[in-house]
Amino acid sequence: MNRFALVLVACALLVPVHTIADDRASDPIFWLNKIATAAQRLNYTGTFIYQSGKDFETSRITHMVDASGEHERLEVLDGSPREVIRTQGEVRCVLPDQKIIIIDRAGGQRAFPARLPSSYAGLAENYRVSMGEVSRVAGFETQLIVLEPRDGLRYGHMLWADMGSGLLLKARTIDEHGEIIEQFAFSDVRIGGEIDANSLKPSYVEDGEWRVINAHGSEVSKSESGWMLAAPLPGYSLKSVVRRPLGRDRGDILHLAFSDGLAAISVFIEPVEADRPRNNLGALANGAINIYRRVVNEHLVTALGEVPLLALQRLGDGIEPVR
Amino acid sequence: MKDELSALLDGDLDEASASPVFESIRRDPVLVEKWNAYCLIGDALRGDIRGSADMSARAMESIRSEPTLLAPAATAASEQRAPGWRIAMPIAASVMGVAAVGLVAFTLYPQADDPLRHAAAPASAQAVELASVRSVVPVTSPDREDAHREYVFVHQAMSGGGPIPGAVQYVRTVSEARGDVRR
Repeated sequence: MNRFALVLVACALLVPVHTIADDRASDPIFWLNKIATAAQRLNYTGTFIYQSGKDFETSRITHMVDASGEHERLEVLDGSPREVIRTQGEVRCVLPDQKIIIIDRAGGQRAFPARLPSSYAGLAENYRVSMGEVSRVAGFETQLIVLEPRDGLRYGHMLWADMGSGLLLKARTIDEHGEIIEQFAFSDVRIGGEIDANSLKPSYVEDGEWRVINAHGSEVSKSESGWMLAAPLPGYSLKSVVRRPLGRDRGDILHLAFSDGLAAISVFIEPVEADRPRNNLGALANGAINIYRRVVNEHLVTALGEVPLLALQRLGDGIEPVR
Repeated sequence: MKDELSALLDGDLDEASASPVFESIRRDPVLVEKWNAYCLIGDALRGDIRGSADMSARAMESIRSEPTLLAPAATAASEQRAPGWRIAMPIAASVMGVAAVGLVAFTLYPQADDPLRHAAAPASAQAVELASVRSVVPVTSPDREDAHREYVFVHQAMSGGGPIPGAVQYVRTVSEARGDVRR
């Protein structure tokens, strides 16, 4: 009898625990948070293929976390050698063929963990978030999470995360016809373990011949930018305004960042001389990134992002100077 | 060298003999011109008399249609070229010749101010045009060519790359310069 009671108690204790665990494991928002956390907290190194349209490129990524924070190196293995080094709050994009380095402060918007839960929780307004199948990617069992857009102002996403660690092993962006806009997929990855510090070192030493572009800017309060969005774009809100030295002759430009919690649109505003030829306006594309440009009030407005052109046009056309 | 070029174009050279010829082409701009001319002549003989920019375009298209085979050859500047060519050799000599011009031009003249590079530049746009319904006309704005790359870079930094973690998102920024295309 005693033993029976013990079993009952044990069951009573165990059942709710199991239910909670199952609930969480079947909650796609829980998975999105798990994916975001894993990418920042885990050591990993691997090779992935980036596909945009019909173009493929293989890259190697190494990510390490230590007491001083995250350290990361991305190296493109096909074509001309290019690399991105992210360490201690700074990102350097190195283009050896052009002898150019672009530097920016990283992750101003990625202050973990405060930002993540709120932004992912709000996603359901703009996307139908659901669980997909369990399948294998790069030798790991993965859980598929599907984000289906609720309107034509954003793309759909399919995310495959490692069942154990939550690390994102494959990500696909699709348009309204189900066509692949772009895809990242690890072909080989090692999760956890020690990372050799040498594998994070840059392979190029910059000398006097390199052109260093410092893209780092200063935050401007949203109300003082001098520009406004006349008609709001459903689901998107203005996240930040930064003044950056990226204009012609390194003059200042204004960078407005909009986001729906997942997709992001950047709007760049720079003065343009009235007599300059105004070609290259309208809709452009660079790989998976759409671009829309127009001139308003002697300023060139460039809206770009991994979003449908429609969203860029509506946002770009809605930007006006504050009168 | 003229004979070697001719033999190469006809596909009569084996790998061992072809390597030094490619090496010479790579080093000598005059040979590149010759090679270009031969390819043009070949094109004309075959009844295809489009200009050299088109030829590079088709070169790039053939490179793109064989990404896994030819990309390594483009990667390795010189020494490691052989494996790529070993695979490329069985491809019809004419196609290979055209492809070689694209590769040689890119390897020799990475700088933007070179005419060959310019000849090859619209190629990527054209390849996109052939490959998809999305994009058509190449955009020429050399003075602001870097601007969008810088824009994309800071865009990534700001947006956190959506679901894509950390530096992986920056692959868009460093993705091989295809230039902007009109949609």
